Amino acid sequence: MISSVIDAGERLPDDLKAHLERCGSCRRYYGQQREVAEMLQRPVDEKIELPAGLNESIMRAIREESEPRAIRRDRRRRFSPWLAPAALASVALAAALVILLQDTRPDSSQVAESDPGSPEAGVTSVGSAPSDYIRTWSVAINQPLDNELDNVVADARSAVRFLAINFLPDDRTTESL
Amino acid sequence: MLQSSQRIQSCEELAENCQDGDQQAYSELIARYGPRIHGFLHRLVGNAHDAEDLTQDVFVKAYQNIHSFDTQRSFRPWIFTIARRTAANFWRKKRPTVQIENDPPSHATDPREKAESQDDCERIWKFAHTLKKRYFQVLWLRYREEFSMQEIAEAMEITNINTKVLLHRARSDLAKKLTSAGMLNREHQESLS
Repeated sequence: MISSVIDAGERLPDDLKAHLERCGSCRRYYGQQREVAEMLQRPVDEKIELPAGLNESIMRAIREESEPRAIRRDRRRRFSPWLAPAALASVALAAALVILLQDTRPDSSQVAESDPGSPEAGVTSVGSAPSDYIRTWSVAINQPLDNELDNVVADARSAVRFLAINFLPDDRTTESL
Repeated sequence: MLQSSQRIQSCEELAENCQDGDQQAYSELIARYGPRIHGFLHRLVGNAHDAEDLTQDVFVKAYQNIHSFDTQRSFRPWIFTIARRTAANFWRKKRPTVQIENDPPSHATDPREKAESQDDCERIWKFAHTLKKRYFQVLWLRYREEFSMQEIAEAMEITNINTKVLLHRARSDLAKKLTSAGMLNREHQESLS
């Protein structure tokens, strides 16, 4: 109760004042607390000012802190318009090439049948010998150019469809493809 | 229109402008609170160099977290909370070497006269600095910064009741130190005017 009066800096209520007049220990306590509070409340003759240049120093630090983020944001903005389509196109091209290679490679059994007596037949059926790839490329090279182009277009289309189905959210887009 | 542009903005309004990216408003907040925060930290850590560094830390942190400030509340306890936490981190990292420049006197020939002088006023705060950190902080906020009990509670991150208890204990401990130093009357028998 006494502390609350001191904290609030209010005048003593009559009932408390009457009690303090009767009670020596409470009176001493009140006197002590009030005196300490009064001492602490005295104005101190002290310059309250910021050290020279500190405001500028703080603002500089703030700008330095925020600058890298802004630069990073700008960079993201600069790259974002073309980065995603370029990545998509690269993936599509890679997928098309892979599909092209797989389609133009002759089936190993067909290769074996075409030349059953050759010593390479057993090797090509396993599908790991270098000659297998050489044969595949020779078949691809010997195909007419029109067929080759048709294959490329068909493979690219299927790769794009694959990407559209898997990565584009709108189903209508894939239908239109 | 002219009146509104000339009106001095409250700290909460300035903080709101800062939230919209107005750095000039933040510079104004530093001008208003920088000296008080610096004074508080200087007392807490005991040297000007660390106080400057910490003041900078406080305002950089406050700027980084300005979006979390609720502009419906008072800015003052918010910035002092950051200052108090920054000082606490400082003590955690580095053991402070705070010393009272002038040793407080063990006896005074005429305590009342002495206490009235500026030197004694300064000495009282040096005694206060020897109290527990939380006691010193609560006394500083109450009597130097003239915070309300509610503002102290916010800045100290405690309840209103705990604030009252803390303030009472801080005053009582300080009274003991001042009494033993002869700066406080041993007997308070004067009339209750």
